[in-house]
Amino acid sequence: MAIDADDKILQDFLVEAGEIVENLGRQLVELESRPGDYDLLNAVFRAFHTIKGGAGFLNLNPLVDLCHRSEDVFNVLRQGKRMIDAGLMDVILQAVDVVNAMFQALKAGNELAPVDMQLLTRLELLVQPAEPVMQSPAAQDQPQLPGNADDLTDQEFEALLKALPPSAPPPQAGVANAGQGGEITDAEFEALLDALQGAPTEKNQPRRMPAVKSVSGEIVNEPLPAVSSAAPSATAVAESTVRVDTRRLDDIMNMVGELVLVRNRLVTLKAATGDEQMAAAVANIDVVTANLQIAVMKTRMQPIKKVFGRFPRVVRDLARSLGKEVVLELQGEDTDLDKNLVEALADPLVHLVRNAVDHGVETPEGRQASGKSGAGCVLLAASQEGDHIRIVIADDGAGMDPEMLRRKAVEKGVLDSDAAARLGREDCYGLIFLPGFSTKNEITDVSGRGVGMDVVKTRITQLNGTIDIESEPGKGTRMIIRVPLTLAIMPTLMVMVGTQIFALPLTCVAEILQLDLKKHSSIDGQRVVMVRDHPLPIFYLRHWLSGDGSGQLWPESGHVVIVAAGGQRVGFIVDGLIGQEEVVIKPLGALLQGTSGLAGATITGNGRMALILDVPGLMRTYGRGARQSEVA
Amino acid sequence: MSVRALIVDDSGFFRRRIAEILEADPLIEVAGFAANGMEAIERTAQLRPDVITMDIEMPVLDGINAVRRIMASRPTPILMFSSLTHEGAQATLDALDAGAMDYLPKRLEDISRDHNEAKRRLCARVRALGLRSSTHRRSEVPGTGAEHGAQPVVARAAGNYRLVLIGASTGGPVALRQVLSKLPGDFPLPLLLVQHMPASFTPAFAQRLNDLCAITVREARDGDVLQPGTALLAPGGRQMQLDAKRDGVVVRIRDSEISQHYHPSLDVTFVSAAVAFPGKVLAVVLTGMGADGREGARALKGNGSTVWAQDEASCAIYGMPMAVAEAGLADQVISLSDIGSALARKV
Repeated sequence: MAIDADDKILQDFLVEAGEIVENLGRQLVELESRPGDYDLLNAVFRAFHTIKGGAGFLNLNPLVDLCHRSEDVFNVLRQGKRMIDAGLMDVILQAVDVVNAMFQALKAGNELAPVDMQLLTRLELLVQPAEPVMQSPAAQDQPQLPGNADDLTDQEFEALLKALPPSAPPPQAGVANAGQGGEITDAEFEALLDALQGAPTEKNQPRRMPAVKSVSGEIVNEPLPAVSSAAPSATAVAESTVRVDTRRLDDIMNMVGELVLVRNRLVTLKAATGDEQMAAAVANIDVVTANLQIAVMKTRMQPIKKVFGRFPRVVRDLARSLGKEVVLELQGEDTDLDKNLVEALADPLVHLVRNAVDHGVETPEGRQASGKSGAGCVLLAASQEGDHIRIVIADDGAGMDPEMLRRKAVEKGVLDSDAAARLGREDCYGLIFLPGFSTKNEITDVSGRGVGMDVVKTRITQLNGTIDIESEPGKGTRMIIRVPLTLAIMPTLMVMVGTQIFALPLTCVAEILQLDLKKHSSIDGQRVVMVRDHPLPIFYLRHWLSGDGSGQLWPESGHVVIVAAGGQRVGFIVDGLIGQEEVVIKPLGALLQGTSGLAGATITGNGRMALILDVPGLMRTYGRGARQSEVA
Repeated sequence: MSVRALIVDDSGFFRRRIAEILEADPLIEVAGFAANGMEAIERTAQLRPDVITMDIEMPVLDGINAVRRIMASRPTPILMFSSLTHEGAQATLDALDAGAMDYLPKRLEDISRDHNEAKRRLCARVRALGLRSSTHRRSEVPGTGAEHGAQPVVARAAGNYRLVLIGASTGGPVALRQVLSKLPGDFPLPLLLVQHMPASFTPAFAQRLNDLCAITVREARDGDVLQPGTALLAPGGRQMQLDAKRDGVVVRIRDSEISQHYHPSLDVTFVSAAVAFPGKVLAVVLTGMGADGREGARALKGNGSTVWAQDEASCAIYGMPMAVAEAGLADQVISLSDIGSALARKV
């Protein structure tokens, strides 16, 4: 067979096996909190079984060995011969890591090295049924605990009492009396069992697992086994998928982008021409292009589940190493977003979640001392809001103290004490995004190196997104990330500032008003006008963007575009409104790259060039500056 | 006319590989796929395939339950893909009890070292199972022997036989069970059973038969002595023969030679029995693909023993019995349901 065909088969295997392993991480962590969940145990068993099967087909023997032993462990688990504990899980997770490493090796075209004997041995040991629960010095005399508490005879009860391990708490007086031949109530018996076993859950577990083996004829009369957590795939549809290189999709996306620009041009020309037939054709192209754009976007969409999948493991390992208890809740895993976004968000999200576990959630003792439950909760939720994705990372931990952040900023020389004093609450939270800012006194391995949050912010800004922080000391913290669904095409509002055209991302635009600007006031040096009884800070974009020395000029009336920037509403005064236009974002050339306040450039329908404004950047750079120049 | 196959496996990778192999055979057409037992039941009803390949471990509904439901609603020949482990053996035997017709190892390597040979065998098996024109029901059909024109059992002096041999292949486990479960615990003769089966399966299979039958059944060991009422099952992967010594006949278990196509092989056992007990053997050739047993039957008939062949109507695959019958070597052609009682009466 041609090498090409073999390689395709290997790739096919790696794709399927890769998805299985992605799910495995989360399933295993779930299992740790629900160790008796038969469906989960079965699903993990099948995961190893399936990978083993495919690996066997391809003669990838080290992978077969590893999966075979892992599968055996789960076979023993699903038959109830052993229970999951943290030690077992550590070994299995190690095996999963090796499986992943093998996939990477295969992707790189390398041979597989044989599996480390130590790991294989540890797995083999786990296949042995677990030791009996009750440890007593005379193990051979271990009396059999009957399955039904009611069936205990006096002799058996006496034997149980004798078998009490020395470390177990003494049975209550009532129970001890019963041993002399009186009656024992169910409650007393249960208490004795608890004292003997020490772990009440264990005696409940075996009952939860239904009989595994089906014997001829029996199953027919029983109800169907519960539908497992793995959703059945729509195979008739699944077999008609095609694998496409993402670069091809990128190319198609670019071409559609160009098409959008040309469409915009045609639309503008159509407005100018009186030719009805031309107008009709252009209207047609408009619709078709819009549909094409959506369709192509969808080809690149992936559920965020791909990124979320790794978090249960991240949280579990981190919590374990820090001695904390954390419950991770995932919501909105099926939210779709562009493939590039999925990959770009992965690292920032990991950092934020690790932060929540490390800085946010307190130790179990600390939590209980403040009246909280011993286990902290971290929520990772994604949802689609129009053409944006909203991701929330929330914890019910210690929250952030604005005063402490303020102090740290001054200590680190980031701000002088006056400037620090003037910061509002949200601004204090925003301090954590400054480079070098870390409030952890020691640099731990986990976070605290102070390079994390500023990188997170930069990455998100590069995606044209925003990140906001809400927090309450003692209660918890919420980080809210918003990123546009697609990086390439953006609906904008075209405006004139001076003689130039600028594009404002429509997602930032809340309202457009025509205002009388003569009536204005000043708060703290900031010009405001009253809109619906609320003060609206206003800025004249010409001051910032034109450089024509108009610094002190303010129009008497004009168009005010109200934008939302970091939770604040501000008004931008512009010299003219052109209209809404969907544009393709082109990167700024070398000269302009990095200019604050600019997100990119585009070609308008008129064939002219327009710069795309980055509203948060504008506010950061000029917002304070403007204020200060006013005061000056 | 091509055989239409439905491929059932929860691994998309595996479905595609099997599909590639089967589609390469001009006589096989892949009718569709199913990713779990429930879908298998639905697709079988929709597509009406001639044969189904079935995985055992699947979500939603496993293979064994799917086999049971399909055989109850729309009986179709089902080929199980088995893992050659102890667990796999139990599961496969369960599947056969549930009505699956045949099984093959899931790893091509285990079908044959040579990948191309393995693929060829897989296709041959699928074709053979799919070409069965009538749907095969395991349940007993009383009186089929007479209806199908089987010759009446020839009376022969009781006590004339010293040994009963039964050999089987595809469909054998279920057939053997039917035959042996009819024998009384005090059956007066020893039995040797040869079932084409992998090494990891025969211990479990012998255990099951033992649990179900009045006679004793166990896997044969080298050096075993023949005992009445005890059936010795040839271990999978090896050969079972009889050595006639001065002081008696002993069972020998030997490794298979390269030249021996089947392990265990009916021919090998039958021939050695013909030498050890000339004219005193009653051999039964049950359902199976191929012609293993024909030469052994020839040797047995050559020195006066008796050979019965299972009839076409009751065979899962009328291959081995056909080879024996068409070579004129069958003293009787009997329906499966009659064999057990015939044996009990005969001896």
